[in-house]
This record gives sequence, C-alpha cells and structure tokens, in this order.
Amino acid sequence: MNTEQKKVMWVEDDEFLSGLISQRLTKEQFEIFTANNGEDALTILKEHTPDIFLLDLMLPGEVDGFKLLETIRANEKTKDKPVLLFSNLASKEDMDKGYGLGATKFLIKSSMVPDEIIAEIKSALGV
Amino acid sequence: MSRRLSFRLISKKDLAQEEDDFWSENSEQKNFISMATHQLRTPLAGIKWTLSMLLNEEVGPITKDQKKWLEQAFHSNEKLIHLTNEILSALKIDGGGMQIYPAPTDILMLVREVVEIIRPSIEKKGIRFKLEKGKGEIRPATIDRDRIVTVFQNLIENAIKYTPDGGEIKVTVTQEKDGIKCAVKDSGIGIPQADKLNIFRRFFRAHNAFNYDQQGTGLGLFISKGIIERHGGKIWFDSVEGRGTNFYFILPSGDIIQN
Repeated sequence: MNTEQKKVMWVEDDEFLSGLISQRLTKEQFEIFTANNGEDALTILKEHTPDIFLLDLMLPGEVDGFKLLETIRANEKTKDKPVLLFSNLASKEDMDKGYGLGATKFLIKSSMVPDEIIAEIKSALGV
Repeated sequence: MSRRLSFRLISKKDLAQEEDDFWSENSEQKNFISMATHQLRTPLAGIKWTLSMLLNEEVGPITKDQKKWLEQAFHSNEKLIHLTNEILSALKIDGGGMQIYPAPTDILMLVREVVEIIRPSIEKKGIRFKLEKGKGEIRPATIDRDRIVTVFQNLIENAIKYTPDGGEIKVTVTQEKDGIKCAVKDSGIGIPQADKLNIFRRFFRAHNAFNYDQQGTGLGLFISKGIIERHGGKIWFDSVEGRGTNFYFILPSGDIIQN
C-alpha cells in the first residue's frame, strides 16, 4: 500500500511546527489538511474524512485537542481512525485522559524528530 | 539625597533557609517559571525538528564541516530540552505536586535498560562498568518506573561525568528485609568535605565539579532525592575527595501512599 491516497489531518497552533511537518508529509505523498485551531479543524471535518489525525493538545479557542478527539470518536466516519496526540509534556494526567478518550498514541514533541513522527504515522496507518 | 547601604551578616545557613522559603512560598513566581519553561518547549521542538531535517540532508546536501556544527547545535538544543524537563520536575517536587504512578517492576531489568541507553558514554571514557545483584532473589518493587529510571540515569550519568577515563563504576541491587537497596559506586573525583551538606540542594554544584562538567544544572540530585522520598524511600552517600563516591537509595516494600 502506498501513502498517496492517505489523508492526514495535522492540528497545531504553532505555524512553524505545522509547516515543517506538512512539508515532510507532502514529500511522503500524503494528502494533508492543516488547522491552527480546533474550530478550523471541525470546519474541515464537515467536508473531509482524514485517514489519521495528529492533534496538539493545547490549542487556542474553545476546542482543544481533547475536545477534538471526543468529536472524532463520536463521529461514525472517523470513530475508528487513528489519532496521535501531541503534547509538550509527558503529563500522566493528560496521557490517562487522552487514552481514556480513545487516543491511539501519545507523543511528546520535543522527544521526537520528524523521521520518527513519519514512522509513527505510517505505523498507525499500517503503510 | 544620600543613600545608605545597610549590611547584615548572612550565614550560609540563612541563605539556604531564604532559598528554601523562596521556593516553598512564592507560588506565583513558580507558576510563572513553570509557564515560561513550558512555553520554551514548542520553539525548542521547532529547532530540533529543523536541525534534524538539515542533518538528514532533506533540504539539500551539507558539507562535513556544516554537519559538525549542526550536530553541535542539535546537541546544545537537546541540553536545553533536558534543562526544561529538569526545571519542571524540580518545581513539581517543590510544590509537592509530583504524582507517582506505581506498578510492580523488575528493578534489575530496569537498570539494564538504563545502562543500554548510556552505554556509549561509558565506552567513550573506557570505564569498567559492573552491574551486580546482591544475595537472594530481588522481588518486584512497586515503583513509578519512569521516575526511578530518572534516578538511575542521574546517578549513573553523574558517576560517568565525574570519573576519569579508565575508571570504574559499579551498580549493585540488593533485596533487603524492608525494601530494595541500590548502590552506584564510582572511582571518581569525590565530593569535597565542605560541599557534602549541600549536595542535594537545588542548583548546587560541588566546587570540583566544574572542572569536569561546566554545563551541569545542579538539579539532578535534588530531583532524585525528591523522587526517592516521594516513594517513601531514602537516599544518601559517602564520598572521599579524590577517591570516589557511593550513592545509595532504598525503595521500601509495600504500597506507596498517594497524594
């Protein structure tokens, strides 16, 4: 299976980080949807169904990563899609909450390099 | 208008007390430091990701020299990330907010994993490293695995840092009546007598430490003590300057009382 048809949604409020990974994902032939906040992500989800979600936990506005995860799990089309949660900290409270809401994996941004993030995405998608 | 300067004699003990008071009382400042440190992590991740992509030549080919400098920058950034981790851990210890998530753990297995992570530093200095099990069977300990990994990492990395090339480090794990006793012994520079009382203080560094490692934060032992005490255990050391240091800690048997 190749990655050409796979759609990745990357929700991250830091545009620099978002741009870096988007560029890397494009090289890998993924189709990418980016949003800088939860509300924009929800708007995109009305029209598109990504195959995998990468969500930052802390997002500006009313909809943070946890709320997005809840919405994704409550939606028939996305309830079984892998969701990777990204955080700045390995807080056990956040990890427990994330896994409790159905996150596939919890990742710490500063512990990883882009290659490892791509590997996690591919592994979660089974490609 | 003339200004009068007032002086008062401050003993080391007063200073230490003032420092303790600052950390235990100023929750607003601590919140600020915690938030600021937390905010640093996103740009640090950005720098790490960028340097990694440059080093992997994803943006274009780099020369041998450029690679060397980029690696240095990557390494420095890793130190900054480590520092933010240490500051956040230290603040949690100060505020009594360090949560412990205990589970039965094979300590010997845990030490072997830590050693594998830091083996390159051991080999680089040609240090003879031994891991020994004391008499009898080691029972699984009910501990927070990640936190105890941090303690072993701190103690063994310190031992490596302060042991001259070709020296010796020995880690011993022994089952005792009331818990598991762990020891990290090195043949390093030792701790000067005058510094012994302060060695577990936050940001404290022994006077002879700077010659061996200029960039240490002085938080590792403070954090380790906080973690061990949070497990209901005890940490201590004996040391002779110029001959070596032995750190010991006990992880007690039985359940840990949660906050």
